[in-house]
Amino acid sequence: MFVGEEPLRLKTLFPVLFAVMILANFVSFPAALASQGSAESQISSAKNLIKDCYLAVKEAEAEGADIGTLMVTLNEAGLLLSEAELAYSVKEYSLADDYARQSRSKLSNLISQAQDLRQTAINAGTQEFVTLTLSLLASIGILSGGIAAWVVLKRKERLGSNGSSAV
Amino acid sequence: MDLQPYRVFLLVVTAVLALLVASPAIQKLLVAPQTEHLTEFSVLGAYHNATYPFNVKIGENHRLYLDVGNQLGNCSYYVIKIKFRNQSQSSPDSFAKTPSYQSALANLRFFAADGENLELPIDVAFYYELDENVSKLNMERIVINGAPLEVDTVIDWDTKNDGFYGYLFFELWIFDDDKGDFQYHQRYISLRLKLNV
Repeated sequence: MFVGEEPLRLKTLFPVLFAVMILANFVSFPAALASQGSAESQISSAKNLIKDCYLAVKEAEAEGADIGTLMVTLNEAGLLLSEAELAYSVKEYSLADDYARQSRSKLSNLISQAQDLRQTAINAGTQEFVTLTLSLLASIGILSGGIAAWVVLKRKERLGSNGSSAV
Repeated sequence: MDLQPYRVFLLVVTAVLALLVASPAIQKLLVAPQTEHLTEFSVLGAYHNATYPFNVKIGENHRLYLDVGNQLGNCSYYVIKIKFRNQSQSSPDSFAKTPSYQSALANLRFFAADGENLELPIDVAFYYELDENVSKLNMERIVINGAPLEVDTVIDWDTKNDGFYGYLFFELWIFDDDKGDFQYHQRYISLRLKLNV
């Protein structure tokens, strides 16, 4: 009979449901922990990478490189890292993990770009130094030539005045 | 033949020519006057002026603009730490040049090139409730850029100023290359807020 069967079905279902709930808890708890651990590790890794990238960009800047585009990328990565930290604070671990990964991927080849720009700036600096040295030498040459011509002209004038006085 | 006029002409031409040729090198050698190295830090209200929030209601959103100008002579890595405190909790000290001991609700990381001015918009909303004995207010959470951050700060009724007052403040920290970590950059901005129930 239907009415009589209902309490029996609940009685048998209850332990099964209870067991399922316990199992689900055991499965989801480590998953949540793993997600938190992963987010923490991704954020820490992004922090270190962003620091290394910043130092590489600063070195490039010190050599006179144009770091405008690198700064844009750094700021994008910094913003994503801030979002990751914010998401981690409100226990949105998978979102935090995602933002931190995005931040890292933005910086994937920034260090090599900074190093290339640094090398280009060093080469340009060497070329500029050579050009400036040459221009200084040329200037000294022009001055010496002018003074020499002035001395020659003065001698000629003196010789000319001596010759005319002898006549 | 009188060569005196040619001599003067030759000297002038030589000097001008020498200066022209050497001008790029002279430009490099002449150092521009040194300016004071500093970072500018300011906050603007929702209308990009000094209309800062003061009378706060529960859940009301407030837009603020944090402006940072880098005049340090090189690119810099900054963090703005957003903090909240009641009247008795630790605040940054201008004389001792120390930050507040309160933990940061959020960190805003950014970079600024030399001479660059950056503006960071933030949205803030406050969620609080009156305590059972009515003389205390519990700040439960502050929503910053859509993220609800738990606060758990109790604010006492200020009998002198007739209200509940809290302080939202922003500390500027800068990355120190030598120490490999952020250091307090001795700049902060604090907003005093009257929390209306």
